[in-house]
Amino acid sequence: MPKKSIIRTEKLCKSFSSGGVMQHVIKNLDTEIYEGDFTVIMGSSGAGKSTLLYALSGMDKASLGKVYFSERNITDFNSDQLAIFRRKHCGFVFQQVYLMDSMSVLDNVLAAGLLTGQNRRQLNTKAKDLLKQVGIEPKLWNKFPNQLSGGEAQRVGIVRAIINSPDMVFADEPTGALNSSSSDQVLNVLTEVNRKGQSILMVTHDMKSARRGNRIIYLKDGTISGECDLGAYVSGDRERHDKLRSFLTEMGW
Amino acid sequence: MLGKLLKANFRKDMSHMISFLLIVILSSSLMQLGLMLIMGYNSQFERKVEELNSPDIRVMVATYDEEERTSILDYISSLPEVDYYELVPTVSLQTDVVSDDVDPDSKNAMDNVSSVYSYVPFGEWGEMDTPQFVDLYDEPVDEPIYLSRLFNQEIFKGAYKPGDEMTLKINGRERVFTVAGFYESITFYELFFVDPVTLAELNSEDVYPVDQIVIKLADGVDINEEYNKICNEFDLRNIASGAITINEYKLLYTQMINIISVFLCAFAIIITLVVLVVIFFRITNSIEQNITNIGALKALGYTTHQIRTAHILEFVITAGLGFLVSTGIIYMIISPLEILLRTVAYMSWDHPFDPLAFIVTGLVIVGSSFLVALKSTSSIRSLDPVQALRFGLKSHSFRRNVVPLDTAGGPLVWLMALKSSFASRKQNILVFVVMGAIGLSLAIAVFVGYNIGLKPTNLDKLLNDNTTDISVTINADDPIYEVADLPYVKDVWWTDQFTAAYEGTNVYIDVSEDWNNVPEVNLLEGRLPKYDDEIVIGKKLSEARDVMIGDMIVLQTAEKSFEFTVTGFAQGTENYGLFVMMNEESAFHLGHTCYKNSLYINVEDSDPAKSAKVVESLEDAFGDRLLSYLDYCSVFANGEDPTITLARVICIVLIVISIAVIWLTMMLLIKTIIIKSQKELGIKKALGFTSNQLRTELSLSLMPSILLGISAGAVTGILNANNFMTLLLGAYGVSKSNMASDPWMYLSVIIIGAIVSYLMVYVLSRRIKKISAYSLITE
Repeated sequence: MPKKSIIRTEKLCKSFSSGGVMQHVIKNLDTEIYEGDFTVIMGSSGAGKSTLLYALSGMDKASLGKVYFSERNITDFNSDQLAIFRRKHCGFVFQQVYLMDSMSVLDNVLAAGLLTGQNRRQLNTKAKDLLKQVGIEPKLWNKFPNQLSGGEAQRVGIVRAIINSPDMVFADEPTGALNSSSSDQVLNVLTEVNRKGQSILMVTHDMKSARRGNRIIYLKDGTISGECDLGAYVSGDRERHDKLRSFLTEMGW
Repeated sequence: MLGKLLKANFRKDMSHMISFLLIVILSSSLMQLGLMLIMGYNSQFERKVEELNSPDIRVMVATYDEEERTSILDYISSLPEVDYYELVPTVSLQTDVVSDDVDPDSKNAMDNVSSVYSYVPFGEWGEMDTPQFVDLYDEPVDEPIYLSRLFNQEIFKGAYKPGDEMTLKINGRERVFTVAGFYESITFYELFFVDPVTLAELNSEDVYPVDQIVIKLADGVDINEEYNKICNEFDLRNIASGAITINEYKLLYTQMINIISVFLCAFAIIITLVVLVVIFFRITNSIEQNITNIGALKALGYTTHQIRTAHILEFVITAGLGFLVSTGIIYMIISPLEILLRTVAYMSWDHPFDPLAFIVTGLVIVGSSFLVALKSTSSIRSLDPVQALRFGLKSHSFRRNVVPLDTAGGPLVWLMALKSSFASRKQNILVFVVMGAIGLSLAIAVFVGYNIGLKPTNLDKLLNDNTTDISVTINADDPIYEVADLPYVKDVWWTDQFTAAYEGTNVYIDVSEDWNNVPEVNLLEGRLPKYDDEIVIGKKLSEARDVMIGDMIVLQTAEKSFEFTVTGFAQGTENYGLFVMMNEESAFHLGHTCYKNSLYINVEDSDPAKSAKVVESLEDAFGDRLLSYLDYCSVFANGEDPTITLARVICIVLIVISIAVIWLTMMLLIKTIIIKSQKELGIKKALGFTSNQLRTELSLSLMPSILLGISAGAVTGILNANNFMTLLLGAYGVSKSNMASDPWMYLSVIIIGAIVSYLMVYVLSRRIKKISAYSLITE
C-alpha cells in the first residue's frame, strides 16, 4: 500500500538577500514527506536543512514554488492564516527548546493545547499522561523552565509539540544543545512517539540522531542529492547503521 | 572611551530617547511657564507699583461742596499713618460711546459701555501712579484723547488705534476726539486724558460730584487696617465713598494668572513624576537587557564608573536638551501668549528672560533626572563581569505559578494576559504611577470642566453669597411685584448693600427682605436670620475675628450701632469674604433704609431661552425705567465670561496633555516590553498565536495596573478637588469649596481613561506584527 503524502513541494525556492547579494539557499526543490515516517534531513552546514524545515512547516515563506500541506497550498497563506494552520497541524521541537520562561512546565504544554480549543479537562489529562510518558514527574509540572535540566526541558518541548496530535512534528536539531545522556533520552522519546504513529521531520547533522529515522534525505547546496530508506528503527541494528554510514559517505558527508 | 559608550547608548536607545525627550519637553515647558507667569506677573506688578509710585489706597468720595471736600482732605492729612496724598483733578461726566459696534440704547450690562467716566487734563498729574503714555500718535491732532490700553482692550475689544476718531456723547452732546495714544497705570484704568482746554469746557457741564484721592501710607503701616479706618470714618460721617487698596489691585491683576500658574505647575510636577519613573524603568530595563554587554565591557576594562556615567549622561543630556528646547519654545510663544493672557490678567507683561524660573526648572528636571539615573544604575556597581556574561541578571522572579492553566477557567488569551500582568513588578509600578498621575489630572480636568466650563453656575454659587439667573436695576417704586408677575419668572427678590464697621473692620452688609425666601443662599453652617437681631456673617470674617455661631457682635454705622446674634456662616468672595447678611428689619437697627430697585430673578429651569424672554418682558414693561440688566443664564450659556473660557481652555489643555503623556509613556513602555519579550512572542507565534491575539494579550495584561492606577488617581483627584479649589480661591474669600464632585466624575475618568489606554496600547503594539516565529531561529 503506497504511503500517504502529507507535505509536497513543487519547485520550492528560498533565497535571502545578504549585503545586497541574493543567496539561493533552496533551489527548485521537489519532494514529498509521508505520513507516519520519521524523516531526517541531513547535510553539511549551510546546505539549507533548517531553511527547508521551516519553509515546509509554514514558519517561513517560500520565495518561489509551492508547498502543499495536507493538499493545501500554504504558500498562499498570510501570517495569521499560517499561525492558525501551525497550531492545528504542526508541532515544533527546537534546538534551544524555547519554552516560555514565565510559564510553568504544565502551562507551557497546556497553552499550546488550549490554543486549538481542546476540552480543558481532557487536555489536562492528556498533557499529564504525556509528561509522565516522557519521564517528567508530577513534582516538575509546576516548575519553571529555568529550573529544569536541558534534557528535561527538551522532553517538555516534545510534549508541547505533540499535545495537539499534529500532522507533523518538525524537530530542528533537537539534541544539538544536549549532552550524550540527555540526547539519548530525547531521541528515545521521539522514536517512541513516531512508533505510535506520529509523523516527524527532523533536521540533524548528527549521525546518531539520524539513525532514528526511517528515511534520510540528504541536502546539498539547496537541492536533494540523495535519499536513503533505512526502515523502522531497531536498537543495536548494525546493518542499518552501516547502511546509513555508507549512504552518508556516498553523499560526501 | 566614555564618549564612545555614550554614543553607542544613544544609537541603541534612539527611539526610546525621542519619546523621553518629548515628555521632558512637556513637563519642563509647563513648569517653566507656570513659574514664569506666577513670578513674572507678581514681580511685574510690584515693579510697576514702585515705578509708577502707586498709592496704597485709592478713595472715591462724593463731595457736594468745597467745604465738604476740605473737611475730607483735612481728615486724611490729619492721619499720622498717611505719608502724603493727592487729589486727582478729575471731572466725572455721564458718557455714551458712539460707535457702530456699540448700541447706546442697550441695557445689557455686557454690551453697555455707557457710564460716568472721569476726565483728566493731559499733562497735569501729581506724583502718584503717574500714567505711562505709550503708542503715541506721531502727528498733532485736534481734541486729543488718551485711553488706558487695558480699557481699550477690555471694554472696546481693542477697537481703537492711535489716530482713530472716537465719538463720545457727553451729557447728551456728541464730541469727536482723536485717539492720541494710550497709557498704562495700576490704579487708574478707566480715565480719559484730554486737553486741559477741553476739560475746562467739560467742567461747565453737568458734573458728577466725585473726588478721587490717592493716599500713600508711611512705611510699615498696615494697609488693610488703614483702609478700614478711613472707610469706617466716612461711613460714620455718612459720606458716600468707596476705596480700594493696592492689595486688592494686586489680586485683581494677578488672580487669574496665579490660578493658571498653579494648574500649570501642579500638572508639571505630575508629569515630572512620570518622567522620573520612566527614567528608572528605562535604565533598569536597559541594564537587564544589556547585561552581557555590560559584562563584556567590564571584561574589556571599562570601569563601573564609566559604564554608569554613560547611562546617567544619556538621560541627563536628554533631560537637559528637553529643558533647553522647552525654554526655546516658551520664549517663542510667550509674546502671543502674553497678548492672550491680557484678557484675564488686566495688565501687560514685559516677559523678560526669567533666570529664576529657568534655574529652578533646570534644577528640578535635570537634577531629579540625574538623581534617579544615579540610583537606577546602582546595580551595575556590584555586577561581576563573569556572572554578567554567564548568567546575566535575573529579570524575573517566578516564584509562584500565577493563574495555572490546568485549574483556571476563561479564554486562553485572557489567562495569558493575567499571567503576564503578574510577570513584572517594575512594569506594573511604572504603569500604576503614570496612570495614577494621569487619572489625577484627568479628574481635575473633569471637575473643572464640569463645574466651571459646563455648569458655570456651580462656580458662581461658590463665589457669591447668593446667585441668580438675571440681575436687573429698575428705576421704579417696588418693581418686585410687577416683575414677579412676568412669564417664566420663578423667583424674584431684591438685595441692597451698605457698609458698616465691625471692630474696626469695614464690612459689606447685604440686605434682603427675608433671606429665608431667597433661593441658592451659599450658607456653609448654621441657619439664616429669622429675627431682627440675627445675622449671618461671611466665613472668612468669622475666621478673621474668631466669631462662633451664637456669638453677639456689634455693627456700627454713622447713624446707629446694634448688637446682633450670629446664626450662621455664609460664603462669598464679596469684599474678600468680609460681609454680613441681614433681613430688612435688621437694617433698620443700623439706620439704613433699603433701596429695593436691584432685583435678582430666577427663571424657570434656569433656561437661557426663558431668561431672554424675561429680559424682553422687562424691556416691554419698564422701558426707559429699566436701567440695566445682566442675563447670567445667557452669559454662561454663550461662554462669554473669560473665567468660563479659561476653565474650558484649562480643561482641554489638561486632557490633551494627559493623552499625550499616556501616548508617549505607553510608546516607551510597549517598545521596551516588545524588545524584552521578543523571544517569548516568537515562541507564541511559532505555536500558532496570531498577532491580534498577542496584541490583545499585551493590552489586557496592562489593564490591571492601568485600572488600579487610574482609579487611584481619579478617586483621589475628585475627592480632593474641592480642597484644591479651596486652596486656590482661599485668598478671594472662599473658605470651603463645595462644587459638585460626584462619583460619575471618577467613574467616567476610569472608564474612558481605561478604554483610551487599552486602544493606545493595542495600536502601539502593532510592532508585534513584525515579529516572526522564524526570527527565533535566525536571531
